[in-house]
Amino acid sequence: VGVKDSFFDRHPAPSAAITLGWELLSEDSVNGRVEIAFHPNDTMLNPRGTVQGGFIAAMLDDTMGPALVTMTDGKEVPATLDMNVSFFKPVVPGRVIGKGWVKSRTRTTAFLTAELFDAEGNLLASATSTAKILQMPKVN
Amino acid sequence: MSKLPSPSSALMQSKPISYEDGIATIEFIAPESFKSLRGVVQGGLIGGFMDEIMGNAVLGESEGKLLPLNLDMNMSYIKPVPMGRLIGKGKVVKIGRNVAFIEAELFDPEGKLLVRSSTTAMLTEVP
Repeated sequence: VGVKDSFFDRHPAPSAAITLGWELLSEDSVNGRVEIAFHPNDTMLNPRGTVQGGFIAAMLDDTMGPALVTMTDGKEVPATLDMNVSFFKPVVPGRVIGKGWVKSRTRTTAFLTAELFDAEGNLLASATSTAKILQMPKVN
Repeated sequence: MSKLPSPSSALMQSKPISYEDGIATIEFIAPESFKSLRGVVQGGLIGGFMDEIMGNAVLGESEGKLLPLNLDMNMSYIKPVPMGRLIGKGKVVKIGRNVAFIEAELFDPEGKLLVRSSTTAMLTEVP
């Protein structure tokens, strides 16, 4: 369920998205929902040999943000004020799927949420965030 | 055999400086690969630093025996985090037999507070 003339097709991905292996699977610009695949790799492992918590937070962040971006066709971008992450299961390198959506928004503030799943559909982690809404900066 | 330092800490160029009076201090270099659309470190990836700081606080408090397995992590983003050198400070608020409550702060090289975090974690032995 792509969007015709998607913002994400028209703009280069930032470094953080490339690092995470960000891949847009679907977007619903009307309801502010996105589905994104990520590919965490061996450089992101903790001493336990699983993906370090920050990279899990990063994938959730890079799912929530695009949910707002698709809703506004890239005119607005969230500046995160806080983020709360729950870690349900260890994440291992490979393909994981993020589902993110805009729960609520005002003119200045967005409440975002995201969930991360493995290929079998097991819930691995979830996050909520409160963000200030900024105008999208000029992208080179 | 211990896997410390881990691949993720190498990626962030983590350099533990000290563990004194219950405070773990650690330096990082935020790599260019962590950059967001806004030209600063992506918010979730900031969690990478916070996680590393809090892990070091538990390592220090347990004399190198234990590591936290995070159940949750809460972050407050006070200022954007620039690319380059950063300083983290973390402490264990309370350590039980199975669970620890840990806090961390991230500063720029001038000592300005950028991010605060807290976490609830299970304690596991260092692998």
